[in-house]
Formats: sequence, C-alpha cells, structure tokens
Amino acid sequence: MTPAARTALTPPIVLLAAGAAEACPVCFAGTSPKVLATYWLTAVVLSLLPLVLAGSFALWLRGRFREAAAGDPELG
Amino acid sequence: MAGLAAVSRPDRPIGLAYSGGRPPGGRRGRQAVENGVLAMVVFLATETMLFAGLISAYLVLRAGAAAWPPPDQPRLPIAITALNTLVLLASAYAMQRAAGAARVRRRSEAAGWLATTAALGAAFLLVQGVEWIRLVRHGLGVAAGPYGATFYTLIGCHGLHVLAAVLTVTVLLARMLAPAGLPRWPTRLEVCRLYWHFVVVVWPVLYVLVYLR
Repeated sequence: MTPAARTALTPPIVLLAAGAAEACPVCFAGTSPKVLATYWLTAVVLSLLPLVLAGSFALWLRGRFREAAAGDPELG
Repeated sequence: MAGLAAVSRPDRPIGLAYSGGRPPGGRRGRQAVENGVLAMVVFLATETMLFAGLISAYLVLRAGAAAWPPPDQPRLPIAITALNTLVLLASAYAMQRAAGAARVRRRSEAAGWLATTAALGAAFLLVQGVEWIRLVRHGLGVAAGPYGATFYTLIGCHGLHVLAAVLTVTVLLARMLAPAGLPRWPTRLEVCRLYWHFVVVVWPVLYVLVYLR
C-alpha cells in the first residue's frame, strides 16, 4: 500500500473502528445530564491544568533566577 | 543581559544556571535551580496530570452509577483512614524538619527526622494494607465493578507513590549514614522533600473524594 493510500484510508478506518467498538470518547447518547456535566467539568479541568502547571513553573523559575541575580555581587 | 546558560561544573556536567550575562566560557554562573530539583518539579507536573486523569475517570464513572457505593458492596473505613491521614500529615511535618536541619547542614538531626518520616510513611502503608485485606475479604475486589476497580486504581496508585517515597527516603538515609557519606546530601534531601510533600498533598484530596463523598 502506498503512503498516500494509507493516509487516505486511515481516518475512515479509525472512525469506523471507534463506532464498532463503541469507543468514541465523546459519545454520550442516552447518558444522564449528571454524567454529561461531570464529563464537561473534568474535560475543562484537564484542559486547563497543563496551562496552569506550565504558568506556575515559569513563574517559579523566574523567581529562582531573580533570587540568583539578587545574590550576584557583580550585578547587585 | 542575564539569562539561562549551560554551565560546566565538576559535579554537574550541565546545569540550569544564572549566567549574569557572561558567556558560559567565562566566570561560572551561580546555580539558580539545582538539576535534581528542576527534574523533580517537572516530574511532579506529570504526576499531577496522572492523578487528575484518574480522578476525572473516577468522577465520570461515579456520576454514571445508579448508586454509589453500590448497596451490595462494603463501606470504606472512614475513621481509621482519617487517623491514617493524620499519620501521613505528621510525616510531612517530619520531612519539613529534616529539610530544615539539612539547610543548616545538621546531618544527624536530618537523619533522625528522615527516619521518622520513613517510619510514618511505612505505618501509613501498613494500615492501608490491613484495610485493603479486610475489604477484599468483605467482597470488594478489583473485579467487583466500577466501584472496586476505581477504588483500587486510585488509592492503589497513591499507595505505590507512598511506597516509592518510603523506599527513596530509606535509601537516602542509608547513604547519608554510610561511613563514606553522601556528597550534596542536602540537595538530594530537598528533592525527596518535594516528592514527599506531593504524595502527602494528594492524599487528603483522594480521602475526601473517595471516602467521604
């Protein structure tokens, strides 16, 4: 199979396989509003958490470097 | 201009250092963040995502259950686990005291607090193990449905982290007390402290979510 054919066939195969396996992560047909609300909330938290962690890490790193700069006798 | 630089030191081949604007080949930069501390902070970020994912899966499964906990499943031991939570919080205090002693290079005092930390962590694991055996005997196994599966996955994952923390602290303690000593032991203790505090901070969240709600 050529790479172009493989690329063209992969999306429909993945979509069909997900449907057959009922593995679609966002398919909540027939589930209660409580499950939908919980899913939505956890999806928001999991989406934002990496940004919060990255931002906190950057701020912490900046603080450490400022401390190092303040302790540098040639720059202080 | 000040910035990051890769610095060469005999004990640290590459480090994240404040260069003070000088080229890396010039005067050695002052280490702003120890390599081990930096690595642990990044690692703890990934651990945070791991527990966030597990907690999310737990909440979604729980929301979809008709009754939680299921009527035919045993109830979780709330009181003894609350006491166990205090044991783990006490271990965090002991670790903090060890770190305080390390900052002023008091090796024997730090070792004493580290030993206390490891003992409290081991006690926490022992109580958890005993409670798990009782729950399994009452019919709450991994295959008992989403309730058992999520309980053992979430609490078991945390238990494995506590076990890793206890082993790490024990190894650090043994190497600190060895006749040859351990170079840069305060830095290693600081890395252990970060990991220990993470494990302790995660536990009350799990306790409230899994045991109390």
